[in-house]
Amino acid sequence: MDHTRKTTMPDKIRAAMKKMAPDEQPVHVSKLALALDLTWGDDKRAMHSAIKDMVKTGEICRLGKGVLVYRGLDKKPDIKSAMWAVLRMKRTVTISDLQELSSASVDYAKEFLGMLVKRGCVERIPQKGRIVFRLIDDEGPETPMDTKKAEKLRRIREEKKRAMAEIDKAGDALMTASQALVTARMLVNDLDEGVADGTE
Amino acid sequence: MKNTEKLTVKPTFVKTANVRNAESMMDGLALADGEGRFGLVHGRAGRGKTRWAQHFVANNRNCHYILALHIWRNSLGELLKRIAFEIGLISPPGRVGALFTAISERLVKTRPALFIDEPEKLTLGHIELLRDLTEATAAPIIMVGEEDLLKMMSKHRRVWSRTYQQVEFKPFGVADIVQYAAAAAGVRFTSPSAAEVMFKASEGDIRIVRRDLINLVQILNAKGVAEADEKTAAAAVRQALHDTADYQGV
Repeated sequence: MDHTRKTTMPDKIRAAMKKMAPDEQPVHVSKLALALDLTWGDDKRAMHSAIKDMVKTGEICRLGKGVLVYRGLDKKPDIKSAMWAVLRMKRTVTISDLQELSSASVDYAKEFLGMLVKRGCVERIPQKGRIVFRLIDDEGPETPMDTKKAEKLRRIREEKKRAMAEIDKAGDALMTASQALVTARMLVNDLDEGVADGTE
Repeated sequence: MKNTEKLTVKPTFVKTANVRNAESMMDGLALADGEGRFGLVHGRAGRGKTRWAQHFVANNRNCHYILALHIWRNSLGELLKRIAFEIGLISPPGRVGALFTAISERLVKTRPALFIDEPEKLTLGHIELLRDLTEATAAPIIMVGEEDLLKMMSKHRRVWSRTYQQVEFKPFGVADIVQYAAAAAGVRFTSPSAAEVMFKASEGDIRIVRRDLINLVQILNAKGVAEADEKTAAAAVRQALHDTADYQGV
């Protein structure tokens, strides 16, 4: 009797994500499906269902539509998620609260709260001697992303990718020209020296 | 010894004896995986129970925090709706029975730890509902509340038999004050009696300790030292009482 435990879909996803992105790089779900050799709708549905559960437990983090990051089973939540959790629990926080309860730095806490104020889900209230931030729109347990910053980073990465492609293209052109030069020199060297030079 | 650097009170979460005991309970609950269990954290106001719970939830995966509201007393559904929202159920069913089932199905898969703060505001019916939930799903439920909570739960055998462990948050002790002052502000006490002055003034209330520490740091900065003796600690406490009297218009 075979007593070995059957490999579940979450196990397969874990193994694939760890292999494809050992340093928590973003992975597109289509690449994950390819790595898992899933082509049919039913198989992919099982993968999506497992991903959904793994997102709930925090093992996988959803960066954007179809973009996943594997965080691992035992890792702590990232500081941004911790700050969001504190804000949802306390409803009204100060920067000090975020420093104490989520180990955020002053600057990071300010940046995060500033983003939420712009987004409209937090309001900034000056009180005597301090400033408090109150949650006015609880968007739920998933941490709101700084979409503007993410968009900016995406644009920079795309430009970098385009620039690298241009460099590669130029490199290829140089190689071709260099080879043509070598070929031309060889042809010139192979020319018969008995050819008239006009002095006869 | 003169201290050239200015002392400041940094926002620091200090692992006091109460916190260590509570985390030990959480480790035990994790080991009891597969069985429905309550954990119970209780004590008077001002002992840091809620702060601990919020710190734990923020810094650990798969945890949810729910503050019980008095208005839920007349409705089991309101508690269930809040749980559904926290665990991320989109479009949960409206009827209580179906809602309970939907929540159970999710909790069985994800088995998070649910922290219910101030459940003594609720009725026994709500506590029985939570008992059913933890039994059906093996997701641990940690109840965080004041002295009334211990009485409420221990009175009912069916609920009490499911309670894995209870941790009482005791008053902030002298050792906790010494640890907190060092971690948060780099302040050292020249003798235990200096820390005892702050302990007596605070009656173990962490909020009062924090207030007195801020005053102590101001005095030490003025003197240019980082060590507090009994006299300095007493001055910090008097300053705090004076400020409070001013505020109250006395």
